[in-house]
Amino acid sequence: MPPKIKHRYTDQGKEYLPAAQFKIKHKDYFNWKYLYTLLHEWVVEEGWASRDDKTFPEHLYLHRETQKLGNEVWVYWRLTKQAVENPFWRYDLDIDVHVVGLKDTEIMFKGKKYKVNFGEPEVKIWSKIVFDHKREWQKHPIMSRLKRVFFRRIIKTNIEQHKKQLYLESYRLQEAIKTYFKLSTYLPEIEGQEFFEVKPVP
Amino acid sequence: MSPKTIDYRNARYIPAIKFEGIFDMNSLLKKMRAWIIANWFEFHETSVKHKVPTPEGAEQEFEWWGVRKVNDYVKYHLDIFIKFWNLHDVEVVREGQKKKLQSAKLLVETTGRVQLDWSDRFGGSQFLQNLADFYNTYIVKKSIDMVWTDKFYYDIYRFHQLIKEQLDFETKSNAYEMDQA
Repeated sequence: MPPKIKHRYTDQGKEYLPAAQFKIKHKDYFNWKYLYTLLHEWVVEEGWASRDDKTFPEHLYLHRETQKLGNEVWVYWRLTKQAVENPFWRYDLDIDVHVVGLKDTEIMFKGKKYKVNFGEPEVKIWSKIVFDHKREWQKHPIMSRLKRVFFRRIIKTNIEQHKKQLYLESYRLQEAIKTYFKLSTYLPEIEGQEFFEVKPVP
Repeated sequence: MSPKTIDYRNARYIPAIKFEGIFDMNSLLKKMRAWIIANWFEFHETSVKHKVPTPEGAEQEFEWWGVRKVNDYVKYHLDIFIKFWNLHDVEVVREGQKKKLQSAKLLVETTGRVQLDWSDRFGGSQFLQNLADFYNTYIVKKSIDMVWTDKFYYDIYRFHQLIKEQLDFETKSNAYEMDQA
């Protein structure tokens, strides 16, 4: 009998609340290295990971080469961050990138030749708040019984505040990716407008 | 058993908006988003897609989801699907000023869902589920039909109207707000 695949949270008795979930799919010319660097720099700057590659939570980087269809890339990042004021809360940010048909190509833009890629990247992002991630309450004989009431009644507004904060942070990441892809953005201040380079094609 | 989610697709028809012409895409999307937020919905852009531009233009697709807690029992869900075909920039002179607008074919589909018992108070045993059925059918039936779903239905029509105004349609009002016509 094959082993059962365990759920990351529920099978370990962890409670979580989704804050945001979205995907961005873009089939056009772009630069894969820029996109990867943009995502990496953003998560490092926002405190989701350290710059040290050894500890960076990249769980998968799969690069599959094909002769005709172009390359395929899978990237899984599982980022976590402690809430500033209280270690009881943990924010989780899951980033999955899947690129298909990735090919090297060259384009002319304003009289200059650029080395770019053509392909279809898809960035999927999930952000969640995890409560009691160390399972201290879960293991405690009295606190485990109070947990439900505590979440539903006492810290309900606090949960909403944390959810809102994570929601905003997730959408700022979306804004940074959309700015790079030159897609419509909505936030009053465009994320990553000056620091990150935009793709070198109109 | 009474349904836990009342879906307008099965109940009342919300017409889709189709448009072909010149419009300000950024302003349209920003105003739609602003309306959703101003009406106390939590805004989620669940999907964004962009396809490589052909000589006729690009193809873009947006899926939005707005969610609003009305009370501890009722939640509104607003599902919006926006698609642009042949999207490209055009320069237009309006009132003596040059403006960068967009030309495209556009489709906007709006759907509403009213979710009951979202906090799962009646989610436990079969007895509680039967109790929820009784509660929905006999106790809050009028509120479901005449207060929550009705109000949301007209809210969606107001949202519809906003899109029509932005796209400068000939009929900028809806059947329920004739006084503004």
